[in-house]
Amino acid sequence: MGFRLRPTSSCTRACPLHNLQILLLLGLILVALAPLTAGKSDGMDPYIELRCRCTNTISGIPFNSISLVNVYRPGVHCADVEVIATLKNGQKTCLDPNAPGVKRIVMKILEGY
Amino acid sequence: MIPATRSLLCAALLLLATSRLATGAPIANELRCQCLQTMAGIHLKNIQSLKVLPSGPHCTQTEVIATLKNGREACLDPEAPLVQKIVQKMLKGVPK
Repeated sequence: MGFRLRPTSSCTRACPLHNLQILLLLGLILVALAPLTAGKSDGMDPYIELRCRCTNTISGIPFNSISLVNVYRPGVHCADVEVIATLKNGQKTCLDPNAPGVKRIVMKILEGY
Repeated sequence: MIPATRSLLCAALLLLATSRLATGAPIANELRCQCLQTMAGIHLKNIQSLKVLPSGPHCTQTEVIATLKNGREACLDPEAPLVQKIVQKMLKGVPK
């Protein structure tokens, strides 16, 4: 048989072009699935950070900008208390647990202002 | 291109676009209350971290969610005096 430069359009099985299409689809699907997995693992946060999270702290932020406050107790991973506020714009910032303003903010949230 | 293959290609592209959009979007807060029941308090040494959510459009109640050392989460009553003491102690950095 001579080498055919162009496969005929009637070719429907065991055709290299067809196999290439299938492989392309499979690749696309796999690529699409990967970010979802990454997203989920971010959301679940199954592991404790094995180190302190806060290197710099500030003594206070505007009360209205707070979306939620996380308070982490000292443990084997970190000897300090850490207070991490998530702002309404999505940013996270570390607060100084010793600052009176921070205590006031947290207690104010508890009272339901 | 074979019609069946074209359909699969469209489906794959749609899935890809959807996942990219989901990845790019910021992680939104829960859009509803997270606590159905609350406890008056738990022992401080069982607590690993505490999450305090002020009331807002998503929820009319202030919510306090404790993550225990065994990985579970428990909702605490923000108005209970014991809960407020727990928070104060945590901010003081009481060693376990």
